[in-house]
Amino acid sequence: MSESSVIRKKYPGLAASAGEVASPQLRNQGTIGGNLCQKPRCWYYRGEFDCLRKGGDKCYAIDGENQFHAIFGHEDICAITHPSDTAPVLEALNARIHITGENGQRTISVSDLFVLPSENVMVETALEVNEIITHTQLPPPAANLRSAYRKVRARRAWDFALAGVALALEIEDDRVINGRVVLSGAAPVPWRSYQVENVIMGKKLDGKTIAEASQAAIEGAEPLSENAYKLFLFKGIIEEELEAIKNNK
Amino acid sequence: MLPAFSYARPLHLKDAVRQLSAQRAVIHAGGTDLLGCLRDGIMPVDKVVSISALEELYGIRETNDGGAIIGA
Repeated sequence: MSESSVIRKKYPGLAASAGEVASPQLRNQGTIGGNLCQKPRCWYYRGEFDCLRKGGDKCYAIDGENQFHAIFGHEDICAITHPSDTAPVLEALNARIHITGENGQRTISVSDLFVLPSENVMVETALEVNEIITHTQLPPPAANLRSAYRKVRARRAWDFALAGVALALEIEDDRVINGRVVLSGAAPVPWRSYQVENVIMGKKLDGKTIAEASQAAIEGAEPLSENAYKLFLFKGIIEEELEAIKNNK
Repeated sequence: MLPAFSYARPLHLKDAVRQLSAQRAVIHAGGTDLLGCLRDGIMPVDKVVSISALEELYGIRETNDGGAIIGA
């Protein structure tokens, strides 16, 4: 996907996100369906803890070691972050997910694929046990579409996002006329930032708008004991990525 | 240590869906995450169904409307 000429030309942000996944060996072996459906990276979930998501009675991260956990959408139930880099870009691009199961085919949005802990803490996706994602469909990109994916991680390669942002914005006469902003490393699902979108929609990306958007990125955040540093990361990457779009870089 | 499980690699989507209807069955796509999950025993698994032989899931192509389809 990161090397596909079709994807690179039409959706450069998506090609970039695919190139940010894991390492080349893992990318060659992995699949896009698998990237969307991967299991959470939470060390309590992966370790020998009988956590809520595995049928236990509590989330160990909420009051435990939570430096890599969610600042949005956990609702003090389960604080995993969704580990996919491609999902936020697919959501920003308004992709549709095609699924086949026992009762035939269905198509859903990316946001409907993922399940918040408050909806059902035992599953990550809305797939039934015998359903398979067959393909992902992307709408034609608008001529003025700018798409980008930015990922911050603890080391240069082969790591999951501490904070990331996918942007798909249509720019006309320097103004943002349409588009989406979706955060990664932020919540148990790819986290659409309506707050940032509301600030920039219809506006020119000048210094004032960018400063407001950067502040809006963390509105409503509920950081845990060890992860308030993510607030600064999200503010910073929103500012830098909007600057880059403004400067057409 | 990997737990004991049965393994299937169906050739058709319909068959894959049918195989997945078995108790405690999981999909094996690339396996980069699944194998670690199986080793760590984070979910009970009796059957692993590979989807790597399903040709209808392959490829990236442009659509007539100018969009694109990415095989899973």
